[in-house]
Amino acid sequence: MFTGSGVIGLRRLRCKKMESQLEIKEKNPIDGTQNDLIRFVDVTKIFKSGHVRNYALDKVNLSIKEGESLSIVGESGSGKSTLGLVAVNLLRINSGKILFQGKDISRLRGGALRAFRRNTQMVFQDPYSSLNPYNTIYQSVIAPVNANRHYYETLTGEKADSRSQLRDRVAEMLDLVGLTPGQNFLDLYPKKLSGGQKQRVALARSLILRPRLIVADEPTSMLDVSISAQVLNLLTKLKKDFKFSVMYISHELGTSKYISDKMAVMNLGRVVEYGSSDEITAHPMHPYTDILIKSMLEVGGFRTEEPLAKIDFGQYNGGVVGCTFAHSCPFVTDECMRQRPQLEKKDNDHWVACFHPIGR
Amino acid sequence: MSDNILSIQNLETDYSLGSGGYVKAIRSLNLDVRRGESIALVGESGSGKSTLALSIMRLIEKPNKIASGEIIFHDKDKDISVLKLGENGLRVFRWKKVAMIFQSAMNILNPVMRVENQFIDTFEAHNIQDDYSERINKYLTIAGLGEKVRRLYPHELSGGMKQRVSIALALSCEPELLIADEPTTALDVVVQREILFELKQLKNKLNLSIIFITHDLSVASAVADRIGIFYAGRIVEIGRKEDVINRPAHPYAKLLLGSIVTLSTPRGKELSSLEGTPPDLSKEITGCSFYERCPSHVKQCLSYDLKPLKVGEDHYVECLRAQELLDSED
Repeated sequence: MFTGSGVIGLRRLRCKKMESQLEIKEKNPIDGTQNDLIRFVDVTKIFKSGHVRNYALDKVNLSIKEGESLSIVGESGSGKSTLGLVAVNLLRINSGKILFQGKDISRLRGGALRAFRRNTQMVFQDPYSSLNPYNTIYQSVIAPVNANRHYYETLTGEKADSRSQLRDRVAEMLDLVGLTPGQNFLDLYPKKLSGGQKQRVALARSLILRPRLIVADEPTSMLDVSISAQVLNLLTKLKKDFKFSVMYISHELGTSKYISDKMAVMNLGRVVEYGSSDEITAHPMHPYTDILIKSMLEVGGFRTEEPLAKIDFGQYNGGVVGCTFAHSCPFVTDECMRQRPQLEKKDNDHWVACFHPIGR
Repeated sequence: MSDNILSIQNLETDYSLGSGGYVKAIRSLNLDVRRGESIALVGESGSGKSTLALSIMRLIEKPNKIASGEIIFHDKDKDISVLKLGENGLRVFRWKKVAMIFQSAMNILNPVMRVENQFIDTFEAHNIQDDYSERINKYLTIAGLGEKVRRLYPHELSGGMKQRVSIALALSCEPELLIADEPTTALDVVVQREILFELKQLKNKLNLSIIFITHDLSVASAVADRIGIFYAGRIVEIGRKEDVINRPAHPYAKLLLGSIVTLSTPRGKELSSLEGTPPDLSKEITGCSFYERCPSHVKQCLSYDLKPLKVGEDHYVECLRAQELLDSED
């Protein structure tokens, strides 16, 4: 089953030296290189369990521009959370490159890694466990500043040694994320806050160092509908104010489309479709995306009453020779089993990795 | 035979706070479930919707209690007063009359038993005499699983398959009423649709009545004939699906609908946000429980004697100003 990927691996080694900037450019959705904040080039991450190799990310090529928001959608096990973790370098990749503002950050260590991490922050799914219950809100939000005192001083141009001044800064940040008045929240412990409020604290903490990229991994899936709406409203507002880029990871296409300009659909470690989120949700080209979208519910009921193809990824763990979706695809041909479809531009701002895209 | 399969009158369920105090999770609730209908109860966490399900199944354990009220199950020939049932009566009532699908399909299956043995356990507990094997196959097939699943252990099943097994288990004693408590919350969108679709078809095939409990209005509208909106332990609005969704009358229902994001929500549209927190149910609430968060409250709301007001055919709302607000919209 994995012989195919082995061959590809060998060929990759041989070609490595020849890999030019030009080739990277061709492979990647989005042509420009100047505006890219973060760019994934052939990123591969393998989790080994025993002798089984699970391809959580299988040669992913993607990029996010400055100020752009990209949502990563897919079902559980598609590798979307792994992509978020490697983007902020909480996980090391096995091969490929991650260029952040043009520099490869995938192998950074020590001070350089610290310097990079100031620019990217993560908001996690579970606000109940992402805040330390023994720290007050002030202590949680100020932690990134304490770890990067010098950086914070150059960033804001003010000394970070006056506690009362820092408290004011944190209170201002809490005001911005809708915990008003911020001063009243500083000395509370997380247990006093509701889930939505905790998620706001997590947002405040991630913004205190003015990062360029926020990776939000299912930030609303644990929250009630009305609270989730508040967090989404807030994220939209903050994005406008702080002008950061967002990588929004979710299994929920509705909120993904609502939050982001661009969308990437993942399936078993590969990006199968990429483009403007309006375009993808209105005219999906990959059969997998099509099924995902038809499975979404609307207020009022099912989007379609027709029976949909059953999806079963049970026995696969990525790294297959052909298309990852071939076994469940209604349009499968021999070609799909033999060869991996590459992400190709089919339309203005619409890329798909499929030999038989819908509507083509 | 009554048109209703279940009638709940003035039900109050209290959770003990340990110090003699109680949280009133269900506050004097009335609900009729009609024979052959599926009704969805929608509410946010803490609104009491799951407590209602547990109360119907008599799964409220000491020191928590069902303080007052009446739950009547209208069986074919006689009415059963659920709250008066003893151990033996409950054994017949549970699973044979009313069965339940729980949210955490992952946790309800015994991890060290094969799927078929879990069925046999159920049959033995509820005195089912037929051929077990045939019955297991029948209900696994109904739930969209193959017979192969019988010999598997729960860890060999995916999340969706486990949920299907628990649906098969719930149906296996041929209940007349099925309570599904957030049956698809932990599942992926594709599997969620499959399960909901399956349940919708099963309802027609087996002539079931279903109570759906969910926090997601889009899930509710996909499967239900009627929708009831839960807030602070009461149903504040109930009506036909189309009416509640297209013409919500309670301010809370309106806000809830406005905060939902689906694929057809335009980007940048300001979502309605619900400020404040639900009321403290351990204290006495006078008048409307939504008063403090309501954008259109008036003084009279505080002295409002809670009762459902009719705002349309089969459409009832517990809001003093419902009709007035609806008229101003038209």
